[in-house]
Amino acid sequence: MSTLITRDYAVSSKRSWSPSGTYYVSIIGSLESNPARDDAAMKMVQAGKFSNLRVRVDSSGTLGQTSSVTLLKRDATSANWQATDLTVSWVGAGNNNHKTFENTDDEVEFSAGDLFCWEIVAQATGLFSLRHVLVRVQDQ
Amino acid sequence: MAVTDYAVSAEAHWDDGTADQFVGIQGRLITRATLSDVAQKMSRDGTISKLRIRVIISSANGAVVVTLMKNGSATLLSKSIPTNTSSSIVEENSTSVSFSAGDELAWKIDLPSTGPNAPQGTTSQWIAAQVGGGPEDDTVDFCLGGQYTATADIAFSPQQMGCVQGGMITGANLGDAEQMQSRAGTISNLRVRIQSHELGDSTLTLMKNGSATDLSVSFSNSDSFPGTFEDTTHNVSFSADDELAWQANFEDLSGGESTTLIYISAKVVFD
Repeated sequence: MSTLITRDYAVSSKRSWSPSGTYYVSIIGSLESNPARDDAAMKMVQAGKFSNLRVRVDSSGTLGQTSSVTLLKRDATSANWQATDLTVSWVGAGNNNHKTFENTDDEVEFSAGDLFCWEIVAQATGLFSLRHVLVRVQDQ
Repeated sequence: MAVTDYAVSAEAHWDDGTADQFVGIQGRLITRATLSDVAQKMSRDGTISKLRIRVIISSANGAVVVTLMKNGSATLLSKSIPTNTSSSIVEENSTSVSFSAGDELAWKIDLPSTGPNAPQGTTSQWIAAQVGGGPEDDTVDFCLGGQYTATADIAFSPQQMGCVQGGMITGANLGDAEQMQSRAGTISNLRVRIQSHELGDSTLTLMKNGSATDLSVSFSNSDSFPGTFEDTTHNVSFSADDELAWQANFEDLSGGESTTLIYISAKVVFD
């Protein structure tokens, strides 16, 4: 068994979303969304796993409504997208602004050729903005 | 062999007939017409391969060619995006290009001449490639790339923060930019590419767990721009779970002056 190599993939920028809806973001580079998950999704070229999702929320969105960031996966051999367990959610509230939400419980394995992107479900009647999405990646 | 993906992302569109465009290999996919403005210096020896390009739609008037540039010259790592490509990941998996520490890498986007057919332009979402190889596989470049112009507006603060990886400045709140590290290491060789700087003395400093470190560059409007400002003297160790970010300290820009950053990068050697 080879040693797993650990590092972080990140997207970041000063970014707000409106109106409410679902947006898709690549897993490396700039925190800029695309309306099509196939366009945002990056292709992995070797096997590994994702874990330790951290999402920095600047403005948490519509008061009392739940927004989320979820890792989406499409197997190399499939045309179907699936939401993975690597997800965080929060409720729009003043005390959830400027806060980092984490999922350190779940892991998502991948194979060469699998596709991944972030799905942002934004409740954006109020101001909704994120600053970065960080995830641990381990492969050989 | 341990490898990692370097990528630029964000939707970008180029019209047919546009002169060659260039973008660095990490950060935001925002191109410029001058290669030297965006080329990113590598911190290690290695190889780059497995070029992947997400094409949303490409020109009907000719191929678009994406080529890795090394120290100002085209390399063999290149991919031609066929005319009328849509919703595809275009790949080049047979070519590997070696590079050395200090080499400057960027992508060139060679666009077709204008023509009569629609679409008369090309839109892409990301460009990625794999970096690795050799004895330095525990060394990577952290890069915050793209373009950011600091100028006074309603919310402007002279202190602006950036993540250590991603697509440019996140704003005045340090907590918004701090990225918790998964692995211990040492960060050094800070390089800041600045397109223009119109007022006074400014600094760009690595923050660790909320405190300024010695890894820092200073620049003044009396310096020459565009320019790359480096700190190759200091290094900062960090542990897993430490939080890292960049902090820029600008002057009060209320007189309408501005500073434009292109990228901030540093060498990271993991333990």
